[in-house]
Amino acid sequence: MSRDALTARLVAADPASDLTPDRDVAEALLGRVLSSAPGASPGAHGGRRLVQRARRLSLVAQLAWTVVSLSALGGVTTAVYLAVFGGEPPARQIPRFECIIHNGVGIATYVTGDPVVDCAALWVRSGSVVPPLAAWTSPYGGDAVVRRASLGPPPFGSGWQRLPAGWTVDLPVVELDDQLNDISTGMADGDACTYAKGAVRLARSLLVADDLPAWRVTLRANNGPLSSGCRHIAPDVDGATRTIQLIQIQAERPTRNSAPTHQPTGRQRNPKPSARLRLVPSLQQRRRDYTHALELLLVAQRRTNRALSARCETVPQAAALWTRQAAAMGLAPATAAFWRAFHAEASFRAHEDVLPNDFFLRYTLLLQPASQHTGGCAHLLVQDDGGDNLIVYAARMAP
Amino acid sequence: MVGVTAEPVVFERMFRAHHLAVYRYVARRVEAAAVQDVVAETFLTAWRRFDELVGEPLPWLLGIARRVSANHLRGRARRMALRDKLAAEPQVDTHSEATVDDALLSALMALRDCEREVLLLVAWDGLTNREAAIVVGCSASAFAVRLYRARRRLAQVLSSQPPDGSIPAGDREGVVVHDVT
Repeated sequence: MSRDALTARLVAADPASDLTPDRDVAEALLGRVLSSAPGASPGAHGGRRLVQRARRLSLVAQLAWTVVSLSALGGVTTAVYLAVFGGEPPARQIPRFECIIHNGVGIATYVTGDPVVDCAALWVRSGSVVPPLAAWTSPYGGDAVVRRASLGPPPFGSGWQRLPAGWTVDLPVVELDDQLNDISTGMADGDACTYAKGAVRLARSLLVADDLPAWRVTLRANNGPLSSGCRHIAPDVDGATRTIQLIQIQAERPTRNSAPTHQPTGRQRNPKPSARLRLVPSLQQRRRDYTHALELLLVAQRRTNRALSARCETVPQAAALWTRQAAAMGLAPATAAFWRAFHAEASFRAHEDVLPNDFFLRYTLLLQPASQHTGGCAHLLVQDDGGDNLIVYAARMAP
Repeated sequence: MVGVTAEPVVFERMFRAHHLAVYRYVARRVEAAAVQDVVAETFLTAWRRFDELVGEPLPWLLGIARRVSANHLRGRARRMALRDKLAAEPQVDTHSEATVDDALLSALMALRDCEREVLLLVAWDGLTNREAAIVVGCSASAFAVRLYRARRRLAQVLSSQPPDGSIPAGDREGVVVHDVT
């Protein structure tokens, strides 16, 4: 018997090739494991190893855990609040929630203000039957987490508190927070700088637009006196005192985080979306695929913005123009249908390391509705987050 | 703060990516009633020793699963033959529609544990030689040699089997069951 025939016969005799563990039992096990004490907490070197390890882990694992990133800039206010003041933001201002659907989580913004209701709507959109859901908050801040009620609190961290039924965020305050953190204001990006007068003017204009006349705007530095120079300014919205506090972060003048301007290689890729999957490629190959897709996106960005410079368009119109331009270059949005089809694949459901063939030709298009309040004509911005996530913003902002 | 929260998240990603492979690995080696316990012990051990992980996570996890399985087998069924194990695994049998290759399973049973292990890590667990070498704790080249010898031995046993697939008496008497630790 040949070596190949013997191997084939062995493979065919595998008694567990189609064995699938019970998903609920696996979830319960994960919760049990993570609730036990780890053997060693990461120290100074452990932290670095963690990062290295996280980078080594397969992309599909990250993918399974981040399905639709609806807001990449979310949490800026929360993060700054924690960094400057410590503690947690006011409870009813939790800016976003994580909606866990099967193995995926979407970081979503509110529609009704009730995270359970809004997450249930995402379940319906994903084509799934909505199970009983529960929302949880962490005493350490961050987004609320909505998951199956039967699973209990999230299996990471500790101290989770279940939000009572019918709990809602303070929606006008959350929306104001979103507007201040909109990429078009220039205050959303950690590397952007804003002059103090401009930041105050912007905040006041938003209060007028949102019909919040009783609110006030204050300005302070996080460390020392205010600077007249261009600095990063972090907005902090406090619904309890009805105050927008602008915090000038004292640091060296940052440079605007502009996208790379290198030229595309001209390498052609198959533009047709494919339902077929491939094994997750090596890290080096993923880097190459990502860089190539980024180059294509930047070309599409340049072409679209050039067209938009000739006429003043709304955000939806700019997004439509972008979509056509991107499609002509073989790029397509990673829609909910795209992810749904991927998640329906048997190999994905079996937790195998697979990706859609055209994964790196897919981008996430984010329209910034809040930027409708900030004036100006709409343009596109491709964000290079240095990871595997290609995000394109359509917002009212300068190209 | 990042490190404290990142550790469980990274472990969770690893769990979700490789739970199925670990589960199947264990299911092939211990009786059905013990699979969940062995898998649980594997991941609890992995979590306790997570800081030791260097390189690819799957071979590391299977290495732990292998030792946990071995401890289980040593304690409860030290000399259980592969055929008996499979016969005692209704969970596997009821889920598998594949025709049972009795002759092959009999031949596998005639191999030493270490021979069987190298064959199955590649054929059933789908590991590369390099990954499988990490599981059994040897170099890739040493593993390749073991795999070559195990294939040759399996082919010899198969070719010497009578048509009914039973194991020749000589081979049966020569079986030495080794711990797989």
